[in-house]
Amino acid sequence: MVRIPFFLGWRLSTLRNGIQDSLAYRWDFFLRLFGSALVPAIVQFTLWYSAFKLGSAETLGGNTYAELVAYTATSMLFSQLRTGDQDFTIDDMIRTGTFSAALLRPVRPLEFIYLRSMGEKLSVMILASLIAITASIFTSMHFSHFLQGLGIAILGNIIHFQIGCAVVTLAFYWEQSYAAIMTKNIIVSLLSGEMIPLHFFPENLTWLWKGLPFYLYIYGPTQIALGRWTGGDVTHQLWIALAWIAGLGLLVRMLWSYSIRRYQALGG
Amino acid sequence: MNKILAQHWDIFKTSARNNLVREFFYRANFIAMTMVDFVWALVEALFFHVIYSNTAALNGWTRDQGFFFLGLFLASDAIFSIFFQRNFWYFPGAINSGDLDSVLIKPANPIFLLLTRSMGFTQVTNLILGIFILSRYGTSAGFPGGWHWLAVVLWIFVGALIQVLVRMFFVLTSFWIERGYTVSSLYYSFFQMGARPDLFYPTAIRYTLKSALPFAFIASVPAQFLVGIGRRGDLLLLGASIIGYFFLTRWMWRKGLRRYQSASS
Repeated sequence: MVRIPFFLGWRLSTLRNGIQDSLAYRWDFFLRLFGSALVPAIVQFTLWYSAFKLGSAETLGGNTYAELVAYTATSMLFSQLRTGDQDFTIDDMIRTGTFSAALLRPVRPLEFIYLRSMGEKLSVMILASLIAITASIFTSMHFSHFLQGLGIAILGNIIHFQIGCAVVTLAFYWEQSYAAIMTKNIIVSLLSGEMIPLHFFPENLTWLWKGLPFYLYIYGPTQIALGRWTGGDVTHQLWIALAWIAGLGLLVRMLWSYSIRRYQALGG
Repeated sequence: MNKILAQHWDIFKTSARNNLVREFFYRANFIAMTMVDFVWALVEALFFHVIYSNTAALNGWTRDQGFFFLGLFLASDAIFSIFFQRNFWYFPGAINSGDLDSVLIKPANPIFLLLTRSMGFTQVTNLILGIFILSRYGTSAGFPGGWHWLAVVLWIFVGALIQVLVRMFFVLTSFWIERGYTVSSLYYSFFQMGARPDLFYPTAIRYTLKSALPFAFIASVPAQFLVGIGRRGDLLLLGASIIGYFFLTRWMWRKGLRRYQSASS
C-alpha cells in the first residue's frame, strides 16, 4: 500500500472533504448554482435582447448580438469559480473565537480553509468543463481556449481569496469587518465583468477595472475562452495574475503575522 | 378592532424607537452598513451609466428614464429594507431553531411581531439618494411633477408591499425546507430581475415578472405610470398579484404552523 506523505495527505483529504460536503446537500448545491449562475445570466442576456431584438441596434459596445450572447454564456462558466465566502467564514471564526480550532491543527489555517472551499469549486469546474466540451462540439469555441481561460480563472480565484484574507484582518481590530467584505464583493460584481463586459466602460472609466485584478475573475477568462485574447495576451495576463498573487501573498503574510497577535479566545 | 389596531401601532412605535436607539448606540455598525448600502446604490448607478454610454435607448427606454426607474427602485427598496429586510433574514432561523415559540405565545399577531422586530435605518441614505435621482431625472424622463409626487410616494409603498409579500412566500418555504438560507439567496437572484426595467425583457419573462414573480411592480411598472406610458392592464395584474400572494402566504403560514415543531425554547 502506498503511503501518502503528510504534506500531501492533509491537502487531498481537505479537498475530498470539501467535495463531499458540497454534494451532501445536493439540492442546496444545485439551487445555489441555479440562483447565482443562471439567473444573473438571464438578466444579462435580456439586456442584449432588448437592445438588438426589441430595439434596432446592430452593435452594442462594438459587439454584435451573437458576440454578446456568447460572452454571457461563457462568463457564466467562470462566474461560479470566483464566488466563495471564505472571507465571511474567517471573519466569523475570528469574531467568535472558533479560529482557535484552526490554529491548533498541524496545518496552515488559511490554506486549510481555502482548500476546503475549493472542494466545491472542483465540482463546479468539472461541470463547467463538461459544458465547455459540449459547446466546443456545437460552436466555434475551442476547448483549449477554455482551458487557458480556466487557468486564469483559477489564478483569479486565488487572488480573490488573498484579497479576502487581507480585508478580513480588519476583524482583529473591528467588530464590523464584514461590512468591508460586503463592500468589496459589491464592487467585484461590477468590476469582474459579471454584470456587463468591461469593454463597455467609457474610455474615461477604464482605469477602474484595468487598475484592479478583479477582471481576472470573469472578464479575462471569458475573453480568452472566446479566443478574443490569444497568444501574447494570455501570457501577459498570466504574468499580471502571478504578479498580483506574489504581491498579495506578501501583503497577506505581513498583515496576518502582525494582526494575529491581537487574537483572543476564551474557553471553547 | 380599534383597540387591536392601537395595540399593534404601539408595538410598531416601540420597536421603531428601540431599533433607532440601537442604531445610534452601535454607531460604527451603522456607519459601516450605510457605507455598504450606499456603495451598492453607486454600483447600480454606474451600471446604468456604462450601459447608456453605449446606446441612446434600450427598447425605447431612454437614459433619463433609466435613471428615473433607478431612483424609484432605490427608494422603494430602501423602504422595504428599513422596515422589513432584517426580519426576513431571521425568519428561517426562527422556524428551524424553534425560536418561533416565543412569538407565537405573545398576545399579538405573530406575523406582525416577526416583521416588526428588527429595523435597519442604514438605507435612509439610499432613500434620499433615490428621491434625489427622481427629482434630477424626473422632468427629462417625462414625469410631470407637482401633485404627481404623491403618486410617487404611493408607488414606493406599493413596491415595498410587493417585496414583503414575495419575500414572505420565499421564507415560508422554511417550514418544509431545512436550509432556508439557500431559498433566501434564490429570492435575491430573482430580485435582480426587478432591478432592470421590464421593457428590457422578452414577452414571456415580462409577464412572469408581472404575475408569478411580480418584481416588475417594485419600480418598473410604477416608473412607466409616472412618466405616462403605463398600461391599465398592468393595474389588474398588480391587484391580482397582491391578492394572490396575500392568500397564498396566509395559507402557507397556516399549513406551516401545523408542521412546526419545537421542544420548547
